[in-house]
Amino acid sequence: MTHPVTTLNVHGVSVHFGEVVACDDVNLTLNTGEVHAVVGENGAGKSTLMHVLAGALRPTLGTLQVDGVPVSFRSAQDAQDLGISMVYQNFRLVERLTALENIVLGWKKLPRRLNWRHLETLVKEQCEALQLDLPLHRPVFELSAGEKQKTTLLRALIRETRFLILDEPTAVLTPHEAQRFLALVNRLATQGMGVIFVSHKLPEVLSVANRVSVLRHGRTLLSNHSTQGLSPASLAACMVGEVPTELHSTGDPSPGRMLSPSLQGLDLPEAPDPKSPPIAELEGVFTGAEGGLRDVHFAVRAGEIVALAGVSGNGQKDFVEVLSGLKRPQGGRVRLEGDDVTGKGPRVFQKRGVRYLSEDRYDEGAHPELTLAETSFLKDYRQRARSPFHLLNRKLMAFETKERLRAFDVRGGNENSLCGSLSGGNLQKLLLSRELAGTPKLIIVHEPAQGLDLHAARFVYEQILSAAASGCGIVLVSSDLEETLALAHTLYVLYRGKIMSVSQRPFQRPAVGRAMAGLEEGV
Amino acid sequence: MTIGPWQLIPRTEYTVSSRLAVLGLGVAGGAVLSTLLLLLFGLSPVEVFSTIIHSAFLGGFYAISDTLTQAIPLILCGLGCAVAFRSGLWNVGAEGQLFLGAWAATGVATFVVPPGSSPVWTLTLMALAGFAAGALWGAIPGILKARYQTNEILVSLMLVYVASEWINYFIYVRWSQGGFQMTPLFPKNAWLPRLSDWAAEVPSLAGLTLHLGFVLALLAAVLMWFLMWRSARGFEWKVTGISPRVARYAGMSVKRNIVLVMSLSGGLAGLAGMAEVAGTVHRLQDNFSPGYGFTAILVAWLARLHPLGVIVAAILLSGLLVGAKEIQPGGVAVLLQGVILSTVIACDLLTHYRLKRSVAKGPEPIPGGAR
Repeated sequence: MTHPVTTLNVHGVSVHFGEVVACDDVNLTLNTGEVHAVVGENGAGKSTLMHVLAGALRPTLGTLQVDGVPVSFRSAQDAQDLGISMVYQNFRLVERLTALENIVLGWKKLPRRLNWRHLETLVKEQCEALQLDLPLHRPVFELSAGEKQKTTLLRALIRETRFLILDEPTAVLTPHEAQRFLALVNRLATQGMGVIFVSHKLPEVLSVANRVSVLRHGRTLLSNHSTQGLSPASLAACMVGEVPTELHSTGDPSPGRMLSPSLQGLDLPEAPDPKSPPIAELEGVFTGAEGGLRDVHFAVRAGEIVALAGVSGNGQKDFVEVLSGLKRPQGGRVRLEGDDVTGKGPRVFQKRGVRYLSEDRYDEGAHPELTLAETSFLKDYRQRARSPFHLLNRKLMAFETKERLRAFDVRGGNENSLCGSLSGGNLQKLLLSRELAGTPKLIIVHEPAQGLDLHAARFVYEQILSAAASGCGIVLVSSDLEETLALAHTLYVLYRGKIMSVSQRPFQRPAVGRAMAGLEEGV
Repeated sequence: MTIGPWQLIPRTEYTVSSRLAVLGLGVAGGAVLSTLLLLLFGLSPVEVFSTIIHSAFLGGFYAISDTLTQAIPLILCGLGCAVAFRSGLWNVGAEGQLFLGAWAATGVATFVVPPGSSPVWTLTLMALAGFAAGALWGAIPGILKARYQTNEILVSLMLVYVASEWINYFIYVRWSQGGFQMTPLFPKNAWLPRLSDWAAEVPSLAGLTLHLGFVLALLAAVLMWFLMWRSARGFEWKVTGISPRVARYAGMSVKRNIVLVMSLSGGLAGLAGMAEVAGTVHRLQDNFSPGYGFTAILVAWLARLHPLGVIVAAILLSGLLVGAKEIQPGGVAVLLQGVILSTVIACDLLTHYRLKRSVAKGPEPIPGGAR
């Protein structure tokens, strides 16, 4: 059977959040009846673009066109009315309601007098047509991830959807569930639906999609390219900024031009002697079969900058928490300067000079409701406390905080202001001043420049490099490949909890890209 | 978020004056709403309020003494609630912890201390027993939460009923005095000294029931303020209350602090139970608490979880309890309490946000759209 093809055009769409440009002149053409994959690293602008398509975000510039007619959405409902539905990665379901209730919740065509039997038949028909098996009367919190996925999908399908946006749909599914889900996606496309499939799992993208577009740093590097004859390796290279010549790139592929100004011209200190003893080591660390680390071996020396690259969500959180003592590994050993400290607890790690800067500045490294002085001494308050009753020395803390604010040029508040009053960059400077204070031996930084403006990011990088130059070991965990390539002496790549490759400067960008996509072991 | 033409802007700085202003607004709003409700029931608001104020505060020494006496358990339980709430732990079982504290103190007074012992030792032992029993009762939901992530609200509340039946068993069966629903009167050495004990020297003190527990409660409040505002432990509790994630990241032991705070919270309520039996009723009897442990939740909120504020809030609410005894129908006091709590909590929003007339909005976010 054939269906009339409808086209959704993304025309020169840019989205700015203040100074940050999330999408920059993005151009795509999406057709019904096919699966169009949108791939890219973390922060490439995929989610922002999908939010624009789904009516959750208004573009700063550019237009959307349905069959050549410009449309503008004031809300997700507007997009829905035109047949564009989005299935979110984290589902957004009401856990206490049943699957059926969730499916019809907020449906415009819901009659005033609910006839549950009628609704159930309706949904069941849809299920049968797609060969979906879903317990409709079970509350959502009892459902598996795959069943929740089906629920959100049915939510979209009973609403006469022409374009279905799937944001990382297989991220939470087991491999078996993922297989079945991809088959379902194909069925939907052959029935005439336009599926927009956001993912960074390349093999899966190539198996399901007819076309692929690659986003990088908010720009379309590859637009509407057919997946026929495309290899995972060339797609992987494309994702990290090296477009193979056989592909018709629409963007500027040269990596030099892609380098953020905050990363240009940095002075990397000399790498330490590879024979010098490591400050910290992980030996065969294991933190769980589902999404945890698997047999991770890792070492960092004094004065060395070791980066852990990889798409976020591949075990990075466990990695930093094991290395900082916050998480006890289920298997393997953690050593600091040769001593086994496995399971000793974060205070022991802190005392031995391990500092960890969390990626979450607003609900881990700091909190909007804490004052700057409290944040500054979040870990060291006991060292400033006076016996006999461990009374806090607030005066000393305030004094030292002032010093730190001055030394790191933190603006936007004094020691008694709340963290909520600081901008992201200033807050990060404050947190950096906390972790660099005293004599750190190892600093673990997780996404240190995420969401910062150029100036603040530059400051953060310079501080990291000068700490390394003074003999401190640095572990940089980041999903920004440019950042890791520019700063690291040694580069590890993490994929699904495993170290895929370890390499030294100069790095082979395509090989790193392949390792990030899980395509190849070794260098 | 917007309400009509108003927009809510998060506050970035909290000042004491803005907090007091918001509290004042809440109480005033409560008074207005109560007035309307009283009118609706055909009662004279002027009469009701003046009766309450007169019989609780302005009616001479007796009135004030009664109000302060009733404030004692409210202060102690309120402190327990305040420290728990501030640490992000919803201990709503102060009533049960108070029961157990009273029970333990009674046990010590009646069976452990030999007759004729010094009052100082007897009372100290009773206070320790009361605190320990309350702490144990508070620790149970704490331990369960720390170990198995159970909901401390449900567990602490359910334990109130367990505690209630537990003391009933002792009142009706084991320690009953001749089949009545009460234990025998304590020996004199187990009575907290009252003002009226000095009536022989100062005749005007005759008949005043205010007892030493009041001093104890004030001391406890000051101590709690010190602990919560000045100590390293208190800082850990504050951080845990704001965000357990931040506390964990900082290397604080969240689980240990949960158990510690719940025990302390329960201990303070247990102490209230001890003060009540040793200072007011001098025996364990049925219905000796008119829900002090529950009213204490209100006290803690009214006090904005500040230990010194708890003293003021407890005295005000105790005044309402004392004054309301004079009002018919009897439910009015509870009604007023409920209305005032509701308006104060409703105004709580304004401590975190300020209202601003909304102007034309920027282009980016659509309400209910992106995260």
